[in-house]
Amino acid sequence: MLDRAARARLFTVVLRSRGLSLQDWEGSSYILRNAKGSTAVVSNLAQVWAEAEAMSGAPLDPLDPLLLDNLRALARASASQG
Amino acid sequence: MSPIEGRIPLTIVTGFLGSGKTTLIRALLAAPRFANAAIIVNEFGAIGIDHHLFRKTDERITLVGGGCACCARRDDLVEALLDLLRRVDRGEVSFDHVLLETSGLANPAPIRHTVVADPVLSRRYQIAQTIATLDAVAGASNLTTYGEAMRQITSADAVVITKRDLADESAISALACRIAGFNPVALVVLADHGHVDIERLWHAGIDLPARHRHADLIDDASPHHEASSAIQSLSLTFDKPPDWRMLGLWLTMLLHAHGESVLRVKGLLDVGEEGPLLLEGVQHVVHQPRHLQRWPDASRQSRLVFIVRNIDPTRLADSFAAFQAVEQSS
Repeated sequence: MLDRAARARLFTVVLRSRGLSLQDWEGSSYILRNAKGSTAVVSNLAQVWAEAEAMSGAPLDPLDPLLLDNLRALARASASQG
Repeated sequence: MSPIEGRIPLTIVTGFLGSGKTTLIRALLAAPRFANAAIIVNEFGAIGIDHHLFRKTDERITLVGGGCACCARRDDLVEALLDLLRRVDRGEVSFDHVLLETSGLANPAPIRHTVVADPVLSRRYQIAQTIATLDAVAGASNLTTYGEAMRQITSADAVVITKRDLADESAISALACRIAGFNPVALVVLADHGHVDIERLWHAGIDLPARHRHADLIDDASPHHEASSAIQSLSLTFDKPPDWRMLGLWLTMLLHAHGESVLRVKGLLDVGEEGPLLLEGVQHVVHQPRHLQRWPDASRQSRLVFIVRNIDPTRLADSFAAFQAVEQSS
């Protein structure tokens, strides 16, 4: 359960730039949520990306320079706080 | 041969038309490791020929004819594998390994996917390795002309250069370099008059040489490519193992967005146990990671190799580093 929650938190770090978050749901599935409170249930983590694209209306690409800039900024901010 | 995690090892033997797949399988069957193997032969033609070339008991040989097992005959392949299980469960046949010979035009990636995605097959079979044959004489031309030949090589854990006796040393050397250029994951071995080092081939599925000894994520990014080819590779090694949870996240996201372009991912990761975690992905599919009992060589460095088409490997390395940096700072 702890591992599932930790994994969901990692996904949220990446999804945050799209206004999305992910939570473990009782160890059986995951809940994807947007800023407006809409939710979607996904049964496994591999399905998160397709559902997140549907909710945000835009493709999610790990090679996207804007996404990578966001992640780098987040890493720098965390490092400076730490 | 011992089962892998309780499952029957399945070796896929692929290679372009006339490249020597059947000869290789005959050599494998002559070795103790494969002596008790069942054989599935997939032929493009409706009337099979290759399966008559094996001197094995007939009940352990199955023909899947009339098309490639990667597409038109995929259901037939599933049925052939299930039928073997039914017969072994009834005690009608005995085998400890399956050798699957693909047709000369097959793409091995969907065949792997077929086994991994099927709930019954994935519980009973474990893909041990993919071995591709490449003709020393016609191989270079086939790689340039036929996408099928290229896909077979990029999917392979080992490439056997056949018909060595018919080509000169410089041509063979050039071919081996070319293979290593777009598939650094693959072990390259030579077959001489049908003879091949079976023991080296057997370990190819879990082997991944640590070619790059100095581990700095970005500086160590070493893209390889051949001129005029959109296929390139990237090898990464790490002194400090990457966070495997973030690696899993990144990989699922990468394959979701670029599955068609990521031909192969293979990695050995130090997860703090005696042996490494073997990570394998082919196009859209990531296999269930396997814990190996020991490292295949003296190095215990975590390592990852990607074979990609139409993706700049430097962008891949940058992305990987950015994702890992977030995890390390969180």
